[in-house]
Amino acid sequence: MTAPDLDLGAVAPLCVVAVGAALMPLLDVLLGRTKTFLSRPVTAAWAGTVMSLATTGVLSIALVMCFDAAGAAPRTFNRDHPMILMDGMTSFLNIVILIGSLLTALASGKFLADLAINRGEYYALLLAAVLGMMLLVASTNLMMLFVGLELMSIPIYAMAGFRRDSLRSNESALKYFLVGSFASGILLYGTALIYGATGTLSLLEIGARFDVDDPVLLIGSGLLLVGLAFKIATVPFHQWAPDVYEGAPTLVSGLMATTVKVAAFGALLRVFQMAFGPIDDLLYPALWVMAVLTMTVGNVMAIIQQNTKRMLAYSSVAHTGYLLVGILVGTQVGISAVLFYLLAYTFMTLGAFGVVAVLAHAGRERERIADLAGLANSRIFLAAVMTICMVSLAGIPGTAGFMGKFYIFRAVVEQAIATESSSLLWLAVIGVLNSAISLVYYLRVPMVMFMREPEPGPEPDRSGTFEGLVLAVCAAAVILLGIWPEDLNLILTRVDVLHWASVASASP
Amino acid sequence: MESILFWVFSIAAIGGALGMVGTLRNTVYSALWLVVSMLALACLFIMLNAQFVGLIQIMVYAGAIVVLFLFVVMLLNLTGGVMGAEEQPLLKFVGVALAVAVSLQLGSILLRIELPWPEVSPEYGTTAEIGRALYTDYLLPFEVAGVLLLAAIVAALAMAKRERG
Amino acid sequence: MSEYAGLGLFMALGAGTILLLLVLTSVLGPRLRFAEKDEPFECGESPLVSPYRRFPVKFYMVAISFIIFDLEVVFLYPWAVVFRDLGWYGLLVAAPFLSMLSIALAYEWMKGALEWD
Repeated sequence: MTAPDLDLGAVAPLCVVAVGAALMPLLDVLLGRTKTFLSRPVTAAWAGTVMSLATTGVLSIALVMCFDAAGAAPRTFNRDHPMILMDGMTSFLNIVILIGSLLTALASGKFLADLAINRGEYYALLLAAVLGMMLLVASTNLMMLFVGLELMSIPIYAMAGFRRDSLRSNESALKYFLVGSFASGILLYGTALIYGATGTLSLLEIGARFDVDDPVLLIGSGLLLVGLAFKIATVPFHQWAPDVYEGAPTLVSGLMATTVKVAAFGALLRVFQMAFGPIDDLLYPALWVMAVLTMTVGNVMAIIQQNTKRMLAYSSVAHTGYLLVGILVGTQVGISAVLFYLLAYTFMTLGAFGVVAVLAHAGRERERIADLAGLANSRIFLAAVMTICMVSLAGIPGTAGFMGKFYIFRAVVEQAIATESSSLLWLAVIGVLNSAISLVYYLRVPMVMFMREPEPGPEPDRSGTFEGLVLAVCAAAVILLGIWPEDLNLILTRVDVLHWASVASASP
Repeated sequence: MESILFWVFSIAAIGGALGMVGTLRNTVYSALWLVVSMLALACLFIMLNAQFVGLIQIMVYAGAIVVLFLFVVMLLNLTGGVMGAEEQPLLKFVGVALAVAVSLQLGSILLRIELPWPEVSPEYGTTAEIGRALYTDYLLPFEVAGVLLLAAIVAALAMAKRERG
Repeated sequence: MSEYAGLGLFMALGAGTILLLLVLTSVLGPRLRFAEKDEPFECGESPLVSPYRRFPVKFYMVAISFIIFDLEVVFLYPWAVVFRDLGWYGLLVAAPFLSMLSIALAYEWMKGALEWD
C-alpha cells in the first residue's frame, strides 16, 4: 500500500475555503455565547458584521492564492488519478467566483440584519457553496463534477429559503430544490450511462473512447447536457429562474444569477472541450436552437416584467443565450470571449441585484420597478449605480457589457467567415437584434428613476458602508472593463485553453 | 444451493416491488414493502460477491431512505388516496410510457452484454478493494463529501431549527 | 457462499423462535371475543378522530441527522476494513473527513438542535 502522489499546493485555495466553511459554524456558536466583547455588549448586528467580515477575509485569502496560481503551470491534486485541473482557465473562473461571492459576503451583513434574518448559518453555507463552485470549474472527472455540483447546490437551496417567515422565500427554496434535484438526477443518470458505455469517468478518456454510433453513450451525453442546462437556465429549462430569483433573498438571487452560473458554465466548457469533441457536429444544431431560443425568450419575457428581480431573472436567461453563442463558436477566441463576458456579467448583474437588496427592509421589499421611481432625487448614488449596470447589461459602448458582447460577436463573425458558415452568421445577426430588444426594458429602469416622481412613503434610510463599497466596486469595474478591456483580454487569449491535455492525459 | 437462493431472493425482490405498488393507497405499507424488496436485493448483491454494495443497500436504502420516506409520509399525513395521482390519466400514461422506455433501455443494455464475462481479480468489488480506491484514487471526492455532509447539516439547521427566545 | 452458512442458520433459528412463540401464544392463550373488545378503546366511546396525526416538524432534524450520520458510516465502513493496510496514511486522510463531521455534530449540539424543546 503506497500513498498516492498528492500535490496539496494545487488545492490550497480550496483548502482555505473549506477550512473557512468548517470554522464559520464554530464562530457562529462562539459569537452567540459571548455576551460582551472588550466590555461592550455583543449585539446580533455586530455579530453579523463580524461573520460577514470573516467570510470576506477567507474569500480574499483564497482570491490572492488564485491570482498567484493563475500564471503558473497547470497542476492537479492527485497525480496518480487526476480529477481536477488547476490551470489558467480554472484560476480565472475561480477568481470570478471568488470576487462575486466576496462582494456578496461583504454586503450581506447589513442586508441580513435589515431583513431580520441575521443567522450565522448563512456564511457557512456561502463558503460551502463557493467551494463547490470552485471544484465544479476545476473538475475533469464526472464523479468530481457531480460532487462539486451538489456541494454548490445544496447550500444555495437553503439560502434561497433563508427567510423562513416569507411564503415566497419558501416557494423559491422548494422550487429550486425540486428542479435542482431533478436536474442532478438527470445528470447522474447521464453519468451512469456514459460510464456504462465507456468504462471511465475521466472527461479526457471519454473523449478518447467516444463511439459516435453508440446510442447509450449519446443518450447519456444528452442527459448530462440537460442536467447542466437546468443549472445555467437555458430555454426550455429556464422556467424555474424567475420564481426562484423573485422569492429568494435578493443577494442570494444575485449569487445564483452570477457565481452559480459562472461555475456551471465552467463545467460546461470543460465537458465540451475534453469529452464532447467527437460529437461537435451532432450537438451544433441543438445548441444553435437553444442559444437562439434562450436569447429571444429571455429578452422578450423581460420586457413585460413589473418586478425588478423577475426582470433581472429573464435578463440573466438572455445573457445565458449570448454565452451559449460564445461556446458554439468553440475557438480559442470564442472561449476567451466567454470568459471575459462571465466576468463583466458578474459585476453588472451583482450591482443591479445589490441596489435592489440595499432598498429592501423587512416588510418593505420595494422590488417592483415602479418602486424605483424618483430614486435619482432621494438616493443619487444608488440610482447612478443602477443606471451604470443597466446601461452595461444593455450593451451600450463604454461599458463592460458592450465589450463582452463585442468580443463574442466578433468571434462568431470571424469564425463564420473562416468556415463560410451562414448559420453562425445568422446567430450573430439574431444576437445583435436581441441586444436591441433588450434596450427596451433595461433603459426603462433609469427612465423610471430619473423621470418619475417618487411614490409617497417613508424616507429611505442610508445604505451601510460595506454595501456602498460593494456597489461602488461593481460600478467602477463595469466602467473600467468597458474602457480598458484590452489588458484583460490579452491575458485571456493567452490562457492556453488547450494545454491541459498534456497534464491530465499523462496518466489515465 | 446458490441457484435456489438466487430464485428465493429474486422472487422476494420482485414480490416486494409488486407489494409496494399494490399498497400505494396506504403509503406506510408501501414503504415497508420497499424494505422487503431492498433487503432481497442486498442478499442478491452479497451473493454476487459485492458485499459492500449489499451493505450499502441495507444501510442507506433500507435504512436511511425508507426512514426519509416514512418521515415524509407521516409529516404530510398522506393517507386515504389524497395523493391525486390516480385521477390524472395523463400522469398515468406518462408513467407507463416512461416505465416501458426504461425497460426497453435496460433490455437493450442487457442484450449488448457479451459472454464470457471479462476476467477480473477475485478481489474486485470487495469492501477492501473499494476502500483502497476510495482513500487513494477518489481521495478528493471523499474529503469533499465530508464538507457536503457538514453543509447539509448546516442547511437543515438553517431551514428547520426553531429560534430560541 | 459457504461462509454465510452460519449466518443463515443463525437467522433461521431466530426466525423459527419468533414463529414458534407466535404460534404457541395463539394456540395456548385463552380467547374471549365480544363486540366491545374490538373497539379501539375499551371505555365504550367511539373514536372521534383518525389515529393518524401529522408528525411535529421537530422530527425533521432527527431524521436528517440520522441520514447524515448514517451516510458517514457508509464512508467509514471500508476505512475500517483497510485500516491496517493504509497505516498512517489512512489516519491522515480520515482526519479532515472526521473533523468535518465532528464540527457538524458539535454545531448541532451547541445550537440546541438535539434538544426536544
